[in-house]
Order: sequence, then C-alpha cells, then structure tokens
Amino acid sequence: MDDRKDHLWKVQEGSEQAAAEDPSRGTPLGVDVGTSKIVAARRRTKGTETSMQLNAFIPVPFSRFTETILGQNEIPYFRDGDELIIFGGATERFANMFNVETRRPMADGLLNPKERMGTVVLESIMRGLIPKAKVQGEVLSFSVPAASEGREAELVYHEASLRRFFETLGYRAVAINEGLAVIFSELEDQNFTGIGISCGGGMCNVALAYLSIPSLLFGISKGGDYIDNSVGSVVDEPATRIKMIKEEKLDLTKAPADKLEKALHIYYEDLVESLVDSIRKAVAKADKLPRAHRPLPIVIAGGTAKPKGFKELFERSMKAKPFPIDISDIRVAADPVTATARGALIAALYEK
Amino acid sequence: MDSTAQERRRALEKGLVCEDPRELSPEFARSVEGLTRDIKDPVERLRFLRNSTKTIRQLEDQIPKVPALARPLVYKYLGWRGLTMLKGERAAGIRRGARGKIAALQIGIVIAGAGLLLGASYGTIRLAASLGRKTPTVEARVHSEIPAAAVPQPTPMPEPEILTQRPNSIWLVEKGKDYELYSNGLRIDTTQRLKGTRRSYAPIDEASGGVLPLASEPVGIVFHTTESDILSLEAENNASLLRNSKNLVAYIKRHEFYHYLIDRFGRVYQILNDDSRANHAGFAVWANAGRVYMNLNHAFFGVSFESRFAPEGPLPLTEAQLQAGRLLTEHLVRRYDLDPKLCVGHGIVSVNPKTRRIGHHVDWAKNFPFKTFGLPDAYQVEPASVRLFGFGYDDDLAKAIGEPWPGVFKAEAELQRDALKSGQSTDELKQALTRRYDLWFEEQSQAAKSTTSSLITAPAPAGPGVN
Repeated sequence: MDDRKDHLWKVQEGSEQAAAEDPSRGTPLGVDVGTSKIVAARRRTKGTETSMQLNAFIPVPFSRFTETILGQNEIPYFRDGDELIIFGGATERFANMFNVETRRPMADGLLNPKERMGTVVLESIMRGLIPKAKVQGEVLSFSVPAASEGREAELVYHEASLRRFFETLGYRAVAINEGLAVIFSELEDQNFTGIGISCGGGMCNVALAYLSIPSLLFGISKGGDYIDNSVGSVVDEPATRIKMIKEEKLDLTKAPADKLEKALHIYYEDLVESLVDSIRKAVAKADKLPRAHRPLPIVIAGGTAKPKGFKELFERSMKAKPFPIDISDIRVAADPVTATARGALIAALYEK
Repeated sequence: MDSTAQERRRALEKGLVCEDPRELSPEFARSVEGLTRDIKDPVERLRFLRNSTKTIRQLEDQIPKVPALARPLVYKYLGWRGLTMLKGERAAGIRRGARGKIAALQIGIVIAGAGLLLGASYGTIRLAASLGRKTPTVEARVHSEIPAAAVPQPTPMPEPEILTQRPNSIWLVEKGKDYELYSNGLRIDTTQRLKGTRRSYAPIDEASGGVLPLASEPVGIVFHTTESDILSLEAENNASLLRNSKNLVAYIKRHEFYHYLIDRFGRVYQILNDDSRANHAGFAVWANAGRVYMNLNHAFFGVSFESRFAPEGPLPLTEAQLQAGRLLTEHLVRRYDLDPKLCVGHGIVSVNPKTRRIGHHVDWAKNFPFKTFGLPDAYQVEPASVRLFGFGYDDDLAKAIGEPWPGVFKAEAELQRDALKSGQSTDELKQALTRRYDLWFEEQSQAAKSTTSSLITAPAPAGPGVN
C-alpha cells in the first residue's frame, strides 16, 4: 500500500531532507572555540560536516613584497600598522620558517588578556569558518570552558565577547560547557550519562552528566600547550615545533627514541596524572552526584588525546589508585578533534 | 521568576552550571532509559531525556507521596508522555506507540477502576493534580488525556448549562485588507487568497445514469488533514510551529490543494476563492438525493486541518482548530446552502480507480466529529463507491484504520441482497458495477471538459487533481 501515503506527507518528508542544504532555511552550527583550534560543525543530509582552523597568528613586518606573496598564496592576513598579521592554518608554517613562536588569541581556554590583537584575530579566524546566518536568529552553540577558581570574571567576559560576535553574524548564540559537549557527541548510546573530558590546548575540561544533566563541571589549566612549552624548554626547541612533532609522530605505546620523545612521554604522563587526580578529588568531594544505577563510562576528546596510547596511559593512571565511583569503560572519541564541535551542534539543534 | 532565577535556569539548561540530580532515582532512570532504545536521533533523544527529567523535577515534592508500588507506573506514564513530544517524521512511529500505550493505560485503569482508586493514596491524588497543572498537554484535545487512574477526580459539582447568544444569521461584520470577520466569530485570513480555475462540474443522475446540467455552485465540503509535520504545542516550539504553518500555506497555495486551511492555532487561511476549484479530491465519489458526484474537486470545498490523521486515540485537532472548523463549516453551509449530508471526510470518499478500492486516502476515514460540527454522521451512510460501483477494500485499509466505517458494511449487505435477487454472485455484480464507474466517470469528465474550454477563465489542470 505504498501509494496510500497522503500527498503532503511525501513532500514534507522530501523537503525535510533537502532543508539541511537549503540556503534559505539556514543551518544550526556547533562551534568549538578552543585555545588551539576552532572547529565548526553543521548537519548535512549525509551526516555532520566539520571544518577547522588553527587559532593562532604571527605578525611579520609589513612590506609590499610580503603582502603580495601572502595574497598570491591565499594566506589569510590583515595589516596592523607596520605589521602584517598572518592568522589561521599558515601560521605554524611561517613560525617554523622564522623559528619563532606562534601567538595565541586565547590562553588557558579563555581570551588571552595579554594579547592586544587577541579579539581581532579570533574574530578574523572565525569569520573565515562561520558564514553569516542565512536566517536571522539561527542557533549557534559555542563551547566555553568550566569556570576555574578565581577566573569566573574572565569566563563571563570571554563568553559575552563570543556571544556578541556571533550575534553580529546574525546568530542566536548559546554557550555550552566543553565537557558536556563531549558527552553530547560521544555518549548518546549511554543516554548522555557518564564523564566527558575535553583535553584541549589550553586546558582539560571535565563534565559528569546524568541523563544529560551536568552534576560536576570543572577544568584544569593544563593542556597541550603545557606539554609543548614544557618539552620545548627542556629540549630547547620552539613550542610550535614540539606541537607539530607531537601531533604528527607521537606514539605513547612505544618506548621513546630520543630526548624529545622522552620529554613528551614524561609531560604526557604528568598531564594525565594531574587530570585523573583532579577528577578523583572532584568526584570524591562532590555532594551532588547522582545515584547512578550502573557504572559510568568515561570518554576523552580533544587534540591532546589524539596520540596513540593516550587511552592506555589514562587507564593506567585510573587503576593506580581507587576511584570513588564505578567506571564501566574508558574510550577516546572516534574523532577527538571535532567531538566538542559535534556536541555543540547537537546542543544547537536541540535549542532550535 | 525574577531575572536572576531566570538566568540561573537558562544556565542550568545549557549545562553551564551543575544541577543536583540526586532526586532522579535509579528507578526513574531505568524507566526512562528503557524507552530511549528506538530514538535514533541524538537531538530527539536529548529532548526526550531533558523533558522527562524536567517533569520529574517539577513533581519532586509530589513523587515521594506516591506509594512506592505505583511509582514505576508514574515514571512509565511520564516517559510515554515524553515520547509523544518527540519531533520529526522519524519519530512518528514512536509517538504513535506511546499514545497507544497511554490509551491502553487509560483503558486498563478504567477497568481496574474502583480497586485502584481505593489503593491510591493522597499523594497520588496530589501528583495527578500537579500533572494536570504543570505539564503542557501535547495537543489540545476534545477529551482530557490524563489517565483516569492518575486523576481520581472528586465528584464534580453539577454546573448549570451555559446558554450563549448565537446570531440567527451569519453576516460579514468587517472586511479588512487581509481578513474577513463574520458574525459567528469566524475570522478568515485572506492574504493568501488566489483566484483559481472556476468551478464547473456535471453530476450524474443516479436513476438514469445520465449527465445532469453543468453546475458551478459548491454543494458540500470534504474535510482533510494535511499529513504534514506536526510538532507538539509548546511555547518552546513556537517558532517552528509558525514556520511550519507558513510553509504549509505556501505549499498548498502553490499546488492549489484546498480552499481553506486551519492551522494549529486555529487560524483560518483562505487559499482559493470560493468560486474556484481546488485539487483536493479528484478520485473521489459521493452521492446524495439521487445525484452522484465523481471527482469532488469542483463541487466540494476542500477544508484541511494542519494535522495528521490518527485512527486511534484522541482527536488529532487542537481545541482552536476544532472551534475554527465548526465556525467555518457553519459559515460555508449557511452561505452556500450546502447540504449537510454532503459534508464528509476525505477518507470515506477517496477511491483508487485502478485497484477498485475505497479508502485510497485515509484522512478522516474514522473519527471525524460530525456531531460537534452540527453535521449528520457520514460514517453511517452507504458510500456510493461501494453501493453503486462495487468498490471493495483490502487488508491495507484494515491495517490503516481498523474496521471500515459502518456505511461500508451496510452497502455490502445491500449488494449481497441485490446479487441474490438478480441471481448473480456478489463478485459478478461488483464487476458489472465497476464498469459503470468507468462509464459514468468518462461521461462527467467529457461534460466538464466541454465547458472548461468555453469558460473565460484559466484552463483547468489536465489531471484529476492530487489524490
């Protein structure tokens, strides 16, 4: 009885499918505004599409020649007085070329107060990733870290600045905690119950949620940058270079081959131990934990969780001391770099 | 709620601040989690969980007063209610299933009746009252959806009958640039009104089989549902509800599907002029007073409710739609002197000429509130498609709506008697009658075509309309 469907039903269904790519209807967006990378996610007919950009910049002295070269190579930049500010993906290449450090619009998960150009660069990077809203008031959900002690006011400023920027693009901006966003993207099969950890560049954010309701949110100011800077100072190499090596080659399951790798292993272990210890203490101290009817899973996302062997390292650290609640399993997100943005997208679609 | 509290509420909902989930008992979690298996969309799953936990929070003072034994049932009920609020086409089956379970629970409770009522504690009563007050209903309904068991109502105080004034006639009270207001309260939005193709049709004389003179006056109404995407009536869906209605109006206008559309808020949109045809019931048959109408696009108004037909459970209309539908029907019947016996549901007139089956479309093949609309019950009338043309039905119709409406059985019994009288088998008689359908359909089509070409109006579409 296939032809017994009523006419409008069929058309509506078709238009629902097409709506995801219909430019006149707009698309909710999820954005992970991370210290190291900015990732945007949107839903398409065939699934979720993500795009990302490095959240970094490097100033180079202005010259007509340099400006022409940048223009010819389609490298994003803008001029600031007698400097050209190169931002986004090309930054690391230039930093290695000139053997200098890249600069960051953000530090420790928030707008970098020490960086005069921070907000301008951040907005320039985001403009390249996020189109103006097709429909005024379209929902955009962006990630924010958990408030750490003594930095609540900075978080308020950070969140409000981002919200205002997104509103200038025509969006209705909704903030979501990074750790919770990880839970939204990775723990659907657990009914959004468990512990979500986002190991980013500036910090690690942790959320414990029960049926999607967060009951514990906190962050530690240690992340990928901590490893890069620490290793860089030990082996006397720029942190930018350490970051590239870490992201391209590092395998924590293998014994380190040289001093640099050894340092990377040491600081990764330190980071993970600090993280697990913080979670252990926070959970033990928490007075609002749910009466869970089953052990909780832990899911880890973020670029810092990308190296092979991170999960095993985390598991070892978890087993080292008793944990206050039962844990069912520990997993790393299938795509750790985009998990937070994908979770933010779910929040945006929910808000729509 | 003051602004600080509102801010906190917003922050809680966005997950920026911790909540205290301790009152969410493991029992509740198990119940709710057991219901999420079929929710494939993460957004809908999240919506369901959030709605369920929100409801539990709203009832946190009441839950402990419910007897422990009754709590799982309350959790289940709240979970099913949550499932009925899921959005999107993919969740349609889940919504239906949940509604079915709620209905089954209601029936079970009614049967259990007195015993259960006796067992219910004061806490349960309080909880039920809270449910009614604090949680929004999914759709406005003619009858309340709160299960009887959860609502042991006190003996109602007899209320005196309320008599209101009704105008003896219906007149145009006021005509604005984009609306018309009638004395019975009907307000028609005319911003979308189109001048379509003029009505022109030729009924068939049932006795002789001959084509009657061409006519252009409407004679009746066919009620439809749009079968479009339906969201639950909640403030948080407001933007989507408005957008759906707007898109629907544009879509119906583009295809000239109906004369009138009544949206979820009871707004009545006129899409086509009253003297125009609409593509709403091309393959459809109805008869009364010796006149047979085949292809009802010209002779009947198409009035559609933004809704999805549901053969079981509560009426798939909001209270506002019901009221607006009544007023519009009253207006059309009086203004055009329509025969109330020619005001019918799409599902009972729709046919498939290829398969010789009735109920090709099933909207309002059941449950249309004829009495509430002041109309005779068309479900009791022997449909001309069966009685005159021998059309049948298959298991698919039963699957879609359960048993066919009573008029079908009456018509079939009539056919059997006729077959006996004429010494034929019922199948032989039906075969002969279906040939009659082809002949009469061709006759009335030719008659209508000959005039269409002579009318100084836009040409009629080639096909018999969307059906």
